[in-house]
Amino acid sequence: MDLYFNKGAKFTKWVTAAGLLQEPFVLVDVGVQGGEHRHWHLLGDHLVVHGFDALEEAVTQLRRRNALRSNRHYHAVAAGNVNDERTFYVNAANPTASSMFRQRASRFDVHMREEPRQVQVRRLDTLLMQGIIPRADFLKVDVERFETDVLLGARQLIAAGVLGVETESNFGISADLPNGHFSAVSAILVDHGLLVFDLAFNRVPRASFQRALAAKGLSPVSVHEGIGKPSTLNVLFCRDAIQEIDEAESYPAPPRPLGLDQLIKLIVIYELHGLNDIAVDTVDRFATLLGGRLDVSRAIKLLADPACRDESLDTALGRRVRELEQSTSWRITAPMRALKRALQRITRMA
Amino acid sequence: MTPLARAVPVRRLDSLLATGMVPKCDFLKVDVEGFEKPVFDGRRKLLEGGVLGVETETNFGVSSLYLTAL
Repeated sequence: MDLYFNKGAKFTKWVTAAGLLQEPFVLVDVGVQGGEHRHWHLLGDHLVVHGFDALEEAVTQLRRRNALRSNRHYHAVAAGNVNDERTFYVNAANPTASSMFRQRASRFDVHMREEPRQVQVRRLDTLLMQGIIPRADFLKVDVERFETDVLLGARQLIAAGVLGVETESNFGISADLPNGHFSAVSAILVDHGLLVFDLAFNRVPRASFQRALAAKGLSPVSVHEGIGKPSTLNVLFCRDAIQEIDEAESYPAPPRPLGLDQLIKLIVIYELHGLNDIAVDTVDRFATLLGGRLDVSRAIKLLADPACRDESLDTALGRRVRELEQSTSWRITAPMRALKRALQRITRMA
Repeated sequence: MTPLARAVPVRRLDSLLATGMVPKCDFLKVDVEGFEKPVFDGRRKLLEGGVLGVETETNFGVSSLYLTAL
C-alpha cells in the first residue's frame, strides 16, 4: 500500500524550475527494485539517487535504463548492520518478496518458491565513511522485514541530516523484535527527531476465512474490502522543524538544526506526500529565513492547495469500482442490467 | 479555554483488583486524553490476570513523559 503522492506539487515544481535549491536532493533507496518512486522525479536534475538492491538482475536493469543519467547510482549490494556476506532468499515467482529471511508457511495462502543466494551486505554508515554515498536527505527502506538492520547500520547517515524516512513495517513481533517491528523502527528514528507523519496499510484476510466463504458458495473477498487486521504498513517519518523549537524537551536529544536548503527540502517532502498544511505552517513559521532565498507569499499561495490530498479519495473509489467491474458476479449480471436499462428506456418512451 | 483544576482521587487498577473493587477483566478500554501511559503503568497485574484485548486512544507524538520508555 503506497503512501499518498501529491501529483500537483506546485511548490516543488516551482523550486525545481526556478533553481531555488543550491544543493542536490539526495535520495538513498534501499530495496530499489523497479526504480525509485516517480514522485521524486519532480525534482528534475536536483535529484541524486543511490539505490541498493540485493537482486543483481534488478540493479543491472536499472543501470541500463538510466545509463544516460549521471545522477543515478545503483548498487548491487544489500544494506544491513554488518559488512559481510549473507544468504538472500530469492522468490522467483515474486522477486519483490525476496528477503534476507526464509519465508515461513503462511496463513494467508501465499505460496513461495525460494532460491538461496549469497549476497554482499554493507552498512550504509560504512559506505558514507568510504565516500561511496553522500549525506542523504531522504532514506527509503523496503526490504521485507530487514528494515531494522538497515536502519541500525545507518545511524550516522541519519544523524548527518536525513529529513525523512519511508519504511515498510508491520505490527508483528518476532524473537529478534519482541516489542514488534514498528516499535523497533520507531525507536531508532525518534532518536534522530524523525516522527510519524503519514502511514498507509493494507488488511489481508486469513485463508481459513476465504475457505469458509467458498464452502458457503461465496466468492473470496479481496484485499480492498477491509477484512483482516493491519498487515503491511508504509510509514513516513519526518523531521518537524516547528516542534523541534517549540517542544525541544520532548526529544531524547536535540536534533541537528536545519539550514536553509534543508528547510526547503523538508517542505518539498511534506508537499510531495500531500501534507500541505504542515508545509504552509513551516513556511509561515520560518518566513524570515526562507525569505532570503524565495518569495514567501508565492510559496504559501502555491502550497495552500485544497486538492493536495483529494486524489486519495478518487484513487480509493476508482480502485473499488474497477475491482467491482472485474468481479465475476458483476460480469455475470451485466446482461441482466443491460436488459433492465432497455426496459426502462422503453417504459419512458411509452 | 480556562481549565478548571480539581483534585480527584487516583487509584492504580492493580490496587482495585487487589482490594476486590474490580474483578479480573477480559477487555480493557482506556481513553483518558494523554494519561493512558500512567493507567497502563498501574495495571500490570490486571493484564497478567488474563486480559484478552485492549482498546486505547494513542498518537504518534513525542513527549518528555515518554522519553524513558524508548
